[in-house]
Amino acid sequence: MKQKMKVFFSLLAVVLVFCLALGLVQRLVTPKYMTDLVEGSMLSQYYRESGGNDVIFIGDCEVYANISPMELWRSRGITSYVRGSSQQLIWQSYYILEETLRYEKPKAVVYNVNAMRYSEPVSEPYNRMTIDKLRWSSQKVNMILASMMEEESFASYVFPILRYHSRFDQLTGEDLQYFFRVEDTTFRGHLLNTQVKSAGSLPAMRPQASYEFGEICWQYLEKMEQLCRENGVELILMKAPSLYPYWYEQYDAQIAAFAQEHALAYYNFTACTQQIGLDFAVDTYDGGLHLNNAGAEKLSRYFADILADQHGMADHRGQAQIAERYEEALRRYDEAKKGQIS
Amino acid sequence: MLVNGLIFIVGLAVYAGYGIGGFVYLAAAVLISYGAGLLTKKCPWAAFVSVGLNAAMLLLTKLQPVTGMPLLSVMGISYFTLQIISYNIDVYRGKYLPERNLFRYALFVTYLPHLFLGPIERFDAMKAALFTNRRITLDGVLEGGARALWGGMKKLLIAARLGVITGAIGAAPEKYRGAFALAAMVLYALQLYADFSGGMDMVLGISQMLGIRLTENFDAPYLSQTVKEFWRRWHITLGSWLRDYVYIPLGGNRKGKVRKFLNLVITFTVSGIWHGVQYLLWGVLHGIFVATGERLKTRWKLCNRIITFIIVSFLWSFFVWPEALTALQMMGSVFTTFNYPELFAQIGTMGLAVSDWLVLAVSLGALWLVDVRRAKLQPAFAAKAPWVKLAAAAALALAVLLLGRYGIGFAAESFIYSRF
Amino acid sequence: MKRGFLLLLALLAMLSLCACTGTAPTEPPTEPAPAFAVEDGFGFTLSGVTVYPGGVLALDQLPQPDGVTQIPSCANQGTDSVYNFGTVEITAFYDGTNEIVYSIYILDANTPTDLGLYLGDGLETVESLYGKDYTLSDGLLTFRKGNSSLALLLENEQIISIDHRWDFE
Repeated sequence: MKQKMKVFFSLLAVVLVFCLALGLVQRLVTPKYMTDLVEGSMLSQYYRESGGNDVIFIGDCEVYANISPMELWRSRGITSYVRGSSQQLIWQSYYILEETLRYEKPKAVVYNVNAMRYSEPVSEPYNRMTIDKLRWSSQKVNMILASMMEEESFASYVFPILRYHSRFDQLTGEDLQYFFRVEDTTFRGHLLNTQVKSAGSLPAMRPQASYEFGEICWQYLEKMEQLCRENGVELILMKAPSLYPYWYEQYDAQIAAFAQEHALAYYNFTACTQQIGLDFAVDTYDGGLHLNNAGAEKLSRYFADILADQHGMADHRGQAQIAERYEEALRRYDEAKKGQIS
Repeated sequence: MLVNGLIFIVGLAVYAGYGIGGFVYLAAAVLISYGAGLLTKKCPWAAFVSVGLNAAMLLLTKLQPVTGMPLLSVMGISYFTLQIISYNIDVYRGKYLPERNLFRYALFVTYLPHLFLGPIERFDAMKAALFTNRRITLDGVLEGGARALWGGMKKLLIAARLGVITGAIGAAPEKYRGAFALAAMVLYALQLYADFSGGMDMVLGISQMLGIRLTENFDAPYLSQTVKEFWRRWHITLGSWLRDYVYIPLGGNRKGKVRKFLNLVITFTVSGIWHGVQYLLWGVLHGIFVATGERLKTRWKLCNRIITFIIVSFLWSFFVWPEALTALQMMGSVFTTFNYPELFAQIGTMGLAVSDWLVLAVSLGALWLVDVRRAKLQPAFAAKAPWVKLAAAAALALAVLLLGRYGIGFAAESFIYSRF
Repeated sequence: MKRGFLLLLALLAMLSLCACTGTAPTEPPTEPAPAFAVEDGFGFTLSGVTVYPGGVLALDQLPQPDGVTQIPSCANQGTDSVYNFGTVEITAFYDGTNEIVYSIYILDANTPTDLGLYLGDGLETVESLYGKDYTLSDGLLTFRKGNSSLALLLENEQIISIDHRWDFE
């Protein structure tokens, strides 16, 4: 019996050492998304800052580039957060919304409808950047199952070493520096970019064979509307003001019809760039595809007025605890802007 | 019994997943050969019917690229057909009594771990392994698991990497000739050994975990001093099958030198066709070297091993360039095109990074140390404490997970995008 | 219980073997499909230079473009370049060494394809020039040669869009 116990414990020790080694190696080779590709860590920053948001923005890069929660605060005292990621597909947005509602119940959720044009997963790296750093939950499981491309496996999300093992010879200082540490890479989900690249010539507007959004996109938009309704959250639809890819009037008409049918507000900001005060010579960092920080602040001020005046979003600047937190964040935000510009 | 039942059911379920047509064919082959075995004593022709039908189906499958005949895709047909044929012939010869228990016979044929890769077992040996004094033990699981992971290491660290180079060279014969062709032959020799013997390690290791001892299929084949010896060390069970069911029935070496030569060439031609009709010439050439290889033998062991390795590597050309004419041209180009500077300049850009070459070097070194001395190492490993065995398996698992070439590679540029 | 656990481990290992059957010499290696030559696809001749989808964009041989736009790639995670030559728009992606063309889109109603098809032509003209071996879906006619395709959008019985494409696998 003593011999058997000795064998059992020695084997257990080996198993534990193996698990520890595997865990450490896995952590080492998994991308940290702290310096080069920060888009991969944006969604997880929310867990450190969740709660107390009146407005949650959800969507793809148009949302994290074009909306600045700090500016929403500065202009109308609105508390908000952007849960955006690159090439975020609508089913991913739905599960991110579902997850967010486990952490808090905002007054409104604003969804950027650009992703309605994608009814199939586009690329595996974008899937990984959206999904990898999310906390494990039923939402993450569903998101993986809905997003996986043919070459992907569920096991590789559970054990990222199966996906990233070939990085062993591409490790950088970032992998060691951020082995245990994480830092904030956004300002409440807004990715700060002060660079300027004026809009010039754009590709021709090509007629499409079909302007119909995919069935799966409508299904998830319906689910989003239902989820918000069941949770007493107002769903607001928006289309960010980008020059390209083109938001065809046929796309706009479909969203407008959906919004009307479900009594939702829908703001197509591509149609009111003048009212927003946007100048695509200076307000974009990539020739008109996304607004830079200056453009994002203009849009955010414009949208803040809409959210406050037409959707009843409260001004929290008089509430000491919230104000203290936001003013500190604002100070860091303004410093970072100055740092980027200089 | 319960364990065997589970193995049988799981195996069939997995096999059915590869295609219901193949599953039905396998079931029919099992039933026909089982019935023929029982009938053989009363009606000897039953054995010939079963052997004939199975051999014909296998031959048609192998000739399909030439005939273009639409045929069912049956996974593992190359392996289980030979097992079935050996059973019917052995029963006919009276080597053992026919198996009356259908389940036992069916398990012999359909035992999953060896269905796709071999080894090609004989019924009496397999019956003993499956049904006699078999126990699943902790040591068996640990040693078998370690062996299976060793096989995984060979496939994923070595074979997968070497395949990048041989694949690149093999895909562009007009561009890569001479020194490149020689490099491909040598690297393919190592790749094929790592891949095939690695698969064998997985099969034998998993079987060991189940308490089943199968026949070894490799014994340091590249240490052979003649091509004849090579076939006693490479794919051992195929070699012995061909000896017992083709070479000896043809007369073996009992009918004079000329007949011996012919019998060997015929036997290896059959081997070539068994591998695929496009390997017929490969088989013929191996037959010739087996028959005449003793004449190339020198006094020095190392010299003989090098000569044999060169011959065998050259003949692997038929696998690197499946078109026989191209393979012959590539073999010839080694002697006519001396582009070694280009090879050394370009081999680093053919798909493997410096880190890949380092991993290859270390793992080939480990392969050499372990596989060559398997006969001594295996009992020594078996004598170790359980935690040592588990630690070895864990280390191998970690090596495979981290350094194996599998899955979607992390190409940094595929993550590069323009802030979409 | 211990035997059961060990048996379970062994069965799991057996199942994992199926994922790693790999290639043994008994299963003939799949012969690679003959490589499709880019020059066999739907090329477009611009100022005497024929540009092929899937081929390298030789800017030094072409006239100066009127404008160049850099846009994120939908095909393979990089930055595409869209070159506007006035009559056509050529989209290419950078593969690390060269710019590879994946779309040649006709902008001008007076510019024909190499076989003489114009924007505004009808289905009859399309079939007389390119034959009837095409797929039709939602008004999109697609002719294929390997990875190269000619995509024609038909609206009110007239061609309103002509795109020479390269399909990535």
